[in-house]
Amino acid sequence: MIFYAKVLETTLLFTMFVLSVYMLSGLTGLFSLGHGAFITLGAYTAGLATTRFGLPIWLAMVLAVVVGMIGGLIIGAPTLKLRRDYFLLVTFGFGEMVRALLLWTAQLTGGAMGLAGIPYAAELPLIGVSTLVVVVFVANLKKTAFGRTCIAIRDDELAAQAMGVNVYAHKIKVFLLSAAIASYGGALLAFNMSFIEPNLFNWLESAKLIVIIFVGGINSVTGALITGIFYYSFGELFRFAHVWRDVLLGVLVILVIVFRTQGLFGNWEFSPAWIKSVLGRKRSGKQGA
Amino acid sequence: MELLRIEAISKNFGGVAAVADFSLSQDDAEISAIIGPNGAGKTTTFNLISGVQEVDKGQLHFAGTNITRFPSHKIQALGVSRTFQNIRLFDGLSVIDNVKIAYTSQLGYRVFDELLSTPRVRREEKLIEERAREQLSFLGLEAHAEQKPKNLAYGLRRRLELARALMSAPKLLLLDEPAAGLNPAEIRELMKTIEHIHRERKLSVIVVEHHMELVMNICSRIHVMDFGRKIAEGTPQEITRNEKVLQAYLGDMGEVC
Ligand SMILES: Nc1ncnc2c1ncn2[C@@H]1O[C@H](COP(=O)(O)OP(=O)(O)OP(=O)(O)O)[C@@H](O)[C@H]1O
Ligand SMILES: [Mg+2]
Repeated sequence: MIFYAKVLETTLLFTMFVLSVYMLSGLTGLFSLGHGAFITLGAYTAGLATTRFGLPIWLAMVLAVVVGMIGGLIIGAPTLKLRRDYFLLVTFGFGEMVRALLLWTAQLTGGAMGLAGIPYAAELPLIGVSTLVVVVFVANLKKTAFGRTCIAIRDDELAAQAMGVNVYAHKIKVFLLSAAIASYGGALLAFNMSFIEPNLFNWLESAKLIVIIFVGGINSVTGALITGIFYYSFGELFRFAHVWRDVLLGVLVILVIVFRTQGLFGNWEFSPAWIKSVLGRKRSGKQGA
Repeated sequence: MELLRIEAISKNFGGVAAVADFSLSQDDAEISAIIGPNGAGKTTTFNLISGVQEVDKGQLHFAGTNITRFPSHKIQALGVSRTFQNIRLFDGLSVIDNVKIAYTSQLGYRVFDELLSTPRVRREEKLIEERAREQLSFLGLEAHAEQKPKNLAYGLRRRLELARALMSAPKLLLLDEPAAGLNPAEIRELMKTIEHIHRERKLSVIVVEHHMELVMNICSRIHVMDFGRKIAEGTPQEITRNEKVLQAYLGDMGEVC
């Protein structure tokens, strides 16, 4: 039982990371190879705040989010005005920078030895509720003006701006929200694992998050969720087949690129409206028969 | 009353003077046209008015505000709306969501409301939905509301751009070659639509158009551009008799007729 709870905890945490990247890369078309940096920042802020400064857990979590968002602002403000490819490069650099910073400040952070003894405060209920809240938040945002604006920016920045969208301001909002979710998830990760190290979440892991979103379908939160849950729980459940998980993902990527560019789930969203429409169809089908 | 005043604006691309010392004054309930041969600088002029590109020299005033250095979203919020010569729709959004985008500058709710999906959001979303449907039905697109723009016929995509431009209830509408690629029946329909919009919504319209029948029929004033400069201005009757205009069009006659 404990094993399955652990698997679920890890899967849910990573699902949160997938969702944070979903808004940025899936909806808005901005690619960050340094997203792991926000997770790492959140984790270290939470870890240091509790172990070195004796702050309470809740305050450590708030601090983690604040630090993550400040990091997002420092990186985002100058680069989100530039072309998308520069943004990708700078976020990559940011990821490496955070890692280097943690290694240099070994006296505080423990450097390459990592940081141990973080209180085990994030158990399944907290992680479960947090993930659920993030899912609801992201789904809500996608439904209304925020999500529409993201997609408009992804498709045609110039036209979006001419239709009244402050493209730069919106990109900043998206990036900060995404950074906030990632750093909050990072804090939970620290409180769940009790031990963290600078390589916690490298750029390859960040890239995987983007790949998962494309396999699931950039227009579907449901797709990102299901693909993410499947990928991460598979890896945890079948540790011996760990490598095969990435092989499977690789094969899926190729299949999706060739046969289904809109991703496995296309535009489909799991929602009350969808359930109603399915039930409605069944009922009317019976009447007809 | 004067709505838009353009004072000697210029724009260079490398060595090319796309727009040079161009001036124009547009009233608030007027339909006018900018015509000229290919590459005359008409689209660039629209880009400068709508803030898509920045002027090198000169000034732009709209409804009493100096908008010369305004970014395009602010100019749109003040009441300038436009369509694009090479249709620019959002392919990832449904037809109706394409229209809804143009409401962004009037949006009352904030990100925080959206996260929690507050009643305020639901109320305003309903209003946005209604307004977007109004635009769609005005242009005969309501049956396609849930489709993706890519699946629409060319003529319908042009109309969708117009619906999107009207969503923000603009004061000034800039139409960049709205008749391009349309068949004669569709063009007649378009002329009626433009006049209808102008009458019902009391807005000011500038069209860039190569289709002379449309220009002569619906515009009260015509500005003629060539090599970035204005070479003539006047009523349709005056323009058809203007020597300079005939000269400019000589190599371009096929397109005029
Ligand atoms: N972004 C740009 N970069 C470089 N040159 C440009 C750019 N935009 C326009 N030009 C040049 O400026 C001149 C005016 O172009 P513009 O598109 O405004 O003409 P137009 O009157 O709209 O022509 P058309 O009738 O073909 O649409 C042309 O010589 C064009 O090649
Ligand atoms: Mg043009």
